Amino acid sequence: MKRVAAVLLLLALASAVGSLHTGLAEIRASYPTEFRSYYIPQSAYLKVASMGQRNLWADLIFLWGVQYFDRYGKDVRTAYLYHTFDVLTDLDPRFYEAYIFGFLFLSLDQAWKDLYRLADKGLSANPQNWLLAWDAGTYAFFQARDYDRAARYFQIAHDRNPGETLVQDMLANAYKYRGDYEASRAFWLRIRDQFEGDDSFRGRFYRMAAERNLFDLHIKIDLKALEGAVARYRQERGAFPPRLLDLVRAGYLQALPADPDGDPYLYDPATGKVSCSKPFHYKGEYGQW
Amino acid sequence: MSRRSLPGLFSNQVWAIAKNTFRESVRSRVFYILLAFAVSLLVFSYVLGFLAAGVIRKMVLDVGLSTIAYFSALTAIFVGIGLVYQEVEKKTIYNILSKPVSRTRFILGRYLGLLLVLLVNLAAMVAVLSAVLFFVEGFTSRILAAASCIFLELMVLTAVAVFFSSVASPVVSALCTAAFYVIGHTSSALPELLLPAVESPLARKVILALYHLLPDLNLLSINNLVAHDIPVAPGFYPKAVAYTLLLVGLLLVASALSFERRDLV
Repeated sequence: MKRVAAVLLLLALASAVGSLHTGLAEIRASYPTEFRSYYIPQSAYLKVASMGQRNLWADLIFLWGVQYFDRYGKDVRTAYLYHTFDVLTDLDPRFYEAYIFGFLFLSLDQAWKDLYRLADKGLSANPQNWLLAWDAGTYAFFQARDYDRAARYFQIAHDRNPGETLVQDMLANAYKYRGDYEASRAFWLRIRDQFEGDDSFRGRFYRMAAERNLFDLHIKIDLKALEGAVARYRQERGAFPPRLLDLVRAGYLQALPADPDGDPYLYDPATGKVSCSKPFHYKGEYGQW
Repeated sequence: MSRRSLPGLFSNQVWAIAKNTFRESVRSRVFYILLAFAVSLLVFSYVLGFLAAGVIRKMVLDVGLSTIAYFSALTAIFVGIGLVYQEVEKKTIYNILSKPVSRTRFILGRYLGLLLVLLVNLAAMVAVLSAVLFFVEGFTSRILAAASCIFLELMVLTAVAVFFSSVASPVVSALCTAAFYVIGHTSSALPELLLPAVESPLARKVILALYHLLPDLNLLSINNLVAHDIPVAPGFYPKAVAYTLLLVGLLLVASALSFERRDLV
């Protein structure tokens, strides 16, 4: 009899605990998301608490961060995301995958400043690693469209791995997009020379990309020079030049440039706008940009 | 402590006590429970690695080496704390000391016996970790170097456990040895955390002096280097071995001295 009573008491207690657990979970779920956010202590304290096994703690935070990235509201998540990856890379500064996943998550939240902070930290802690610079550069280039930053990261990747054509390609593009046409041209010339006579798919791919970009850069450099000369002409004489040839006659240009095919550039004397009849957008043999 | 040459200390009697300690310890339930937990965690590291796509080798190495370090330390503490005390409590020490065996040899035998237990324990865990690493195609022979460094730490920790066991009860010994382990693994944070916050040169000197007075077991660990395939700095191994032997020597001499003077009646 006593045994039955004890079992019944145990069951009653277990049922009460279960129902309280559910009740408390419901109360917590009713709070706004910022009150349900997670807490990770500062890395200084975690370094002490890890008792010499910092890598293990970094791994556990990483696993947690990767598994639960989607669990929290974006407002809370973004505010805490950098902290999470900052702490775990403080614990294990050489944790390459942590930087890569950190870049990915921060880019999904468009937290560019935090992404660059994490990238700078990773690059400083891993002075041999070029892939981190490459990865950060692609986010800056394709998603943030911050070409200054992209050029900086691709330049670091290039300095650390000068033989990688993919990096040279992206660096040349980043320079072009930020308006540094001469630097871009120098890289494309180098790529074209590197693959001269190489009839493999890769060789033809890069040679073609270089030729198309050199074609485009030729036009961009000329247009920049022509637009500059037109602006100076108008500033000093109060009107746009009637023809482009007048820029040479008035000493603003040494010679009149022509497009890569030798055809003259188009000019509208009413607006002072100079353009080219052959835009960059034609597709090459392999469809590359 | 009676005067003897160092080779004389390591007589057959010492090995007999060591062998006996080994047999005694491997019969202990605590030993098998800890070993079972450690082996389970080592195997579980594969699951953890599987959760973090692309990081499986690092995850297995980190979790594996940390598990080995933590569980070996726990084994050293829990098996080591009763080594001397229980002999005194159960009065079985009289059987040993009634023979021509000095107390110093008794301490040394107990210490070496426990080290043997820990070595077997470590070998078993390293074998399991190696198997998991082979399974994920990430085996590196450098885990043997990491395990050797963990063993150096265990040599120190065992000496601490034996020292406290020779002067205090198992509970006090466990607390003191665990405290030594925690201090040994957190002392390096002292200059790291406090020095940037302190400007006074005197205070900085005091912090540094305090740090150098405390044991730093992190100095012996190369787990993080192994996980990232970073080479160990030249000169590390001889210095680490010398540091360990000096600390162990210091602690064993202290244990022998206190045990020689202890009234066993």
